[in-house]
Amino acid sequence: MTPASRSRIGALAVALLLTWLVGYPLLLTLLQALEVEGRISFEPLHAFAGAADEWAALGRSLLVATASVVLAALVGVPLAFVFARTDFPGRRILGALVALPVALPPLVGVIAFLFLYGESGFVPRLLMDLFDLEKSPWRLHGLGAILLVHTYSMYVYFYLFTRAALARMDGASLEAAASLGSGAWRTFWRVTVPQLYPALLGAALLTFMTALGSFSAPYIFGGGYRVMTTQIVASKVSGDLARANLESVALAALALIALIAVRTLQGSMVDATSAHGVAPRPRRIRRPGVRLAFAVLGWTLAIVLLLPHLTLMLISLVPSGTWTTELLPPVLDFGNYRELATEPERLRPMVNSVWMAAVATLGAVALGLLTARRARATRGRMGDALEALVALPWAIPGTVFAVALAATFSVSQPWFGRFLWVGTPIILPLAYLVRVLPITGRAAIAGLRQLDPALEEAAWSLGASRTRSFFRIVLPLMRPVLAAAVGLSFITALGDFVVSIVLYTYETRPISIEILSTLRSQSFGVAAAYGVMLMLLSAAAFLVWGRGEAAP
Amino acid sequence: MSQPSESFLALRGLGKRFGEVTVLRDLNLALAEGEILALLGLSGSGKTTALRLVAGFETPDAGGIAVGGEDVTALSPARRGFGMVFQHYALFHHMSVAENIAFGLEARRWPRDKRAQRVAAMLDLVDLAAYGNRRIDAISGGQQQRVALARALAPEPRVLLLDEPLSNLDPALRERTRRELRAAVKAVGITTLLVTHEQEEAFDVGDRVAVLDRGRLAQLGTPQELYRRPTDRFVASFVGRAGSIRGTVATAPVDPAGGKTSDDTMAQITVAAGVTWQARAVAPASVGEPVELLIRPEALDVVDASAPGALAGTVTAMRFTGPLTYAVVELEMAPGVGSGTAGAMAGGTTEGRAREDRTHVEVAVGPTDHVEPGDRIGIAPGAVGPVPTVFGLREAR
Repeated sequence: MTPASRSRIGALAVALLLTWLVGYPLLLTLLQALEVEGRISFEPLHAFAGAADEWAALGRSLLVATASVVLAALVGVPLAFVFARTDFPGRRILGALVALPVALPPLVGVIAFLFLYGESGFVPRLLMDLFDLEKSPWRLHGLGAILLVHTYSMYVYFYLFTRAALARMDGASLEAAASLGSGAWRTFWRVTVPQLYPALLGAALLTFMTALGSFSAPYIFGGGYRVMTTQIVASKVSGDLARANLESVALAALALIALIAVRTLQGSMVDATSAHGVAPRPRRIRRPGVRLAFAVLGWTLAIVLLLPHLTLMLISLVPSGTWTTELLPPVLDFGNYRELATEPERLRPMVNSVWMAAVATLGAVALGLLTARRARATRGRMGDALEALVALPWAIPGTVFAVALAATFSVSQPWFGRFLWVGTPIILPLAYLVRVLPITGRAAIAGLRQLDPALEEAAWSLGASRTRSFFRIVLPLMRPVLAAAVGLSFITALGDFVVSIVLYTYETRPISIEILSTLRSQSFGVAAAYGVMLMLLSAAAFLVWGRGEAAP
Repeated sequence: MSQPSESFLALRGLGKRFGEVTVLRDLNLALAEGEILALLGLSGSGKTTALRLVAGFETPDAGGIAVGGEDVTALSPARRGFGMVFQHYALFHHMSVAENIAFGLEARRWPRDKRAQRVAAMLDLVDLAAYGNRRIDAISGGQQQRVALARALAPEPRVLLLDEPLSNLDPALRERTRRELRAAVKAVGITTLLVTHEQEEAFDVGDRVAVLDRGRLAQLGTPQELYRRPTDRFVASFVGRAGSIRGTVATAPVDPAGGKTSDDTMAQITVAAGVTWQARAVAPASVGEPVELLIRPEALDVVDASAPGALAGTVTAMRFTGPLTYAVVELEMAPGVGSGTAGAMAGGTTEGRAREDRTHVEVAVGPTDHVEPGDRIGIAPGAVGPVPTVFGLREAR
């Protein structure tokens, strides 16, 4: 066998594996959605098109996603300008702190909000106490609550993207505009903003996809406000699988249309940032009054952003049933943590989450590396197909993938690549693996692309085998990129809620599911303690692997 | 001297510090209307800072800038009415060539029809008439440089500032572009300040050249003046090639006009036992004082090793540069030469000291001279070429 045909066979094998994991479940979902009494029919589509509540759910999803983009941009972009262009005391540490929400599982943010702004949360309590109110001045539910949580967790995308673009921007282009007589306002709109378009579009796409697939916030706060993700899970839980399949197809279609639209827009855009040049230095604010104002504003902001997590920590120290009507909890101890550590049924979810996230991450790294190497060796159309397959789960909302995997692996048809894995410990790690595959796969592809091929060729010419040169040369050089991806994948799998709620069993329940059930049984302290553990585990993973390079 | 009778752009006592570092001190320059002045210096000499002060991107710690008698020091860059070509052009990549050129006109609220006319005229000026609708990424580096010039000139600025405008071009393209640049600027007749680290560029484009050395103005003059009559040790060695020979003052500089030393004050310098050369002195010196002589290669003739008034040495290498061939001559030890030189003081090992002690001088070899490495020859100042210049060794630098 020639090396060329061997590499083609290798690529084909990887493509088959990826198709089975990523493409096949989606295809099966589509087929099952259209199946009526064993035959493919367009009847279900007609029925779907005529169902007002389905359209309403789709519309709400679209509204939530679009509004989240606008609100996140309104917070994140000005914030990026303040931190990139002005200098005030505490700029560095605050600049890092405000990026923090990106490293935290969505569910943790959601329950932290619940404890802070929910009806019996701190802020309403404080207001009731201050103004002598009978009941909470607001209820944290519906569209407003969802958007509040989304803005809080997703402005980070705009903040990080805009800051990066501002750091790359050529300061000379601003000086050129000024020397041509352009005032600050004109320079901002005609020179600065156009150079930010690619970054803004990238952040908008990321925010839109995240918000469209968001499940935690609508599930906890939505109440009667059903978006498509919660609708799908409701259909699935009520046993209406056909409907869940159809709804999944509709949501996936919406996501893909948005993705294609933005990619088309991106293609027509020139990258206006020139290769040369140095970003303008942050302007030192000289006037003491203004300096103080900026510092106060910055610190206030940081506290507001960190308050939910501080609240979570505080609640985790409150023993169950001791805090009723007081403004501040009367008793604080580590009882909840002791319970987590000593009661086997409380410990189990944490063990579950850690091993499943670890296995999923390892698998995703291996598969990502394999794909990247095959894609590079084959190039051409096959290479493109491999890269597209590995990135596909990113574009598909998690709920959709969960439903698709549930549909695929709930029967035993080995000849069709279907196994009875739902209800076994296999399905959740597998689902996590598919969810994080785009993170590791794209990192591996990017890392390999940066690598000079001559390095590996040099190793070969020195007599090293392919395996040896891969482990001794390629892998060490890709380590920084891969490490960041490992950290991000582990955090994502560890805190997953979207996929878990569709596929968990009692034996394999992860932390997020346990948080939900403790919330339901009113054990708020234990739920908060779980949240803090999730935060700490994520922070540890972030510190160990993702230092400084957690690119979204 | 070509001191302009009246100045249009004046830099008065400009000074700038960044933290502890003084990058520019007491810079005074006056440009006549329509004059091109080149600021020449190494990196870190303060030339770019000076340009950015004039443009208004930095504020001076001392001194000011005036245009046509108006003090512009406090004006923002947008209000100065100066055009600038940036080192990497800083073209707006999200706009077409024509939109780039029109940007300054829009900012100054030119009416639409006049704008279109002006853009067309500018495209013509830089010979890019057919390229108005092109994207910036779709034109060559040389064309980008011309767009940058057209964009800067379009709003009819009072002063043009050029920051290393040619440093991004291939060497072959650079020389042609240099002439085009000068022609275009002269056609417009605009007062221009050019910053460059390349002596050839400064000489080719500038009417006058100001050499900056570590934040101070070392010398200001026409290219000929800088080359033939350097008044500064740094200028003498930085502008063109110059060899250095140690000597002692035989007869003190005599100023024909009496009083202060002028450019043409001559002194006799003993460079070896019984060998005395005439040289221009830029500062007073007393008899017996050790001095340094800076000599252009083409100011030396190849003569017999034993010829009177010649320094003997051995040719160690030949350097062929195309138009000229230089012989590198290692001079034989002589009184006043090599003893107590900076090299000997700095040298570490004995071997190193011995090598450092020897003085190497380059001499231009004429077409009739037959010189090969290993030859023992003599060198002496010729009848043509710039007269050597004397610099005191004690001068605090």
